[in-house]
Amino acid sequence: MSPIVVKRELSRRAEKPRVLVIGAGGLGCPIVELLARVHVCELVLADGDVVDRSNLPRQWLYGDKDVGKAKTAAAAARVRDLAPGAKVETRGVFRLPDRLDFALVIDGTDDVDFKFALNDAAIAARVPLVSGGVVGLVGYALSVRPGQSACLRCVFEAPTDEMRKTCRDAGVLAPLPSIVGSVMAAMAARTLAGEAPEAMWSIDLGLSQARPSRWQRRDDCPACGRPS
Amino acid sequence: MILDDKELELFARHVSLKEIGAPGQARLLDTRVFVADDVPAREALVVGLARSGVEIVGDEVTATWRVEASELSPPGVVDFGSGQVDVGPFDFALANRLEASGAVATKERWLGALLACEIVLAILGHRPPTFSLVCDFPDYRRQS
Repeated sequence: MSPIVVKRELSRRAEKPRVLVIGAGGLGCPIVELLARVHVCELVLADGDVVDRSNLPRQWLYGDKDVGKAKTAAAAARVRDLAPGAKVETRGVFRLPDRLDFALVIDGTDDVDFKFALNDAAIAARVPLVSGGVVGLVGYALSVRPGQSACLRCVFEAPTDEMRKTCRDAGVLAPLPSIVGSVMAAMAARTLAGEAPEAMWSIDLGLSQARPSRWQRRDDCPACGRPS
Repeated sequence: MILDDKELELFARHVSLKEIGAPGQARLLDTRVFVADDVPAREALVVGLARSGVEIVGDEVTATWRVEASELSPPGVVDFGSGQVDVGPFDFALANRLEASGAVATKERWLGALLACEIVLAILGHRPPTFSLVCDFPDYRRQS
């Protein structure tokens, strides 16, 4: 996959597409910052957490002064400093929206059950989704174009106990979410530019390897499969 | 070196990571790294190292590790030596053709964070004494 190519006409468009980013943590921080810097969309950032000291190694938008503040407010304030003119709306809740009335949804959460629910909702609403996750030394980014590319259930089928391990349980190397978040931001920008990014990208720092992989939509997928 | 309560709280996700743990985090906190000005993706690399607990120092004399730009490596290859990192002239030609600065930022963030991860793992002894990285956004692989 090449770096994101943001067409001049997209960044100059008067009415920008609205993009929902759920999660203002290790993945959400680089995604929101990098998309705000290219001015290709209006961002809606949703998260119900406050900044904790243990977040600071991974969540680079926050500093000591932000500990105890709502993540969405702290992130939006920092992004407006870094990217003047960027539009960032905040929602201080962490739940599936009633309506996915967005050009693109980005999943930066670390709750695997929520990820599958969001995948199903995006498929039902036919809204493109960029999903990602990190734990330990591994991570992935997945671009879902409903009806055209594999969805989260085509790849992983259903949540398992192994997938429910979070960074809180198993730990995570601090800069890893910024690597995965950068790739997710690139996938998002390419989707907004009308391109079709590679479906799946994964990284394993233990092996020092990252690679794209191709996945076909499954006809029997409960979320995006064709009805028999 | 033993971690105090504030360090245990701040680096809780590193302490619970089996490849680091409390002894590894103590080692990171005791490491001083000098990053030369002309190293590619320097800003994200420095942030990634500093947020991991490594001290970034401005002089080579007190540093225990040095990260330097290298003219010797072919583009996209990063050579690691024991206690020293030579970062080859990374190929930003494609990024330079892009019209939006954010595109460059995305690639730089990726490379800087990736180098920070590899250097942290090298400091902790999870890498061979000398190795190379072949980087081509967003993919890379290690060669020993």
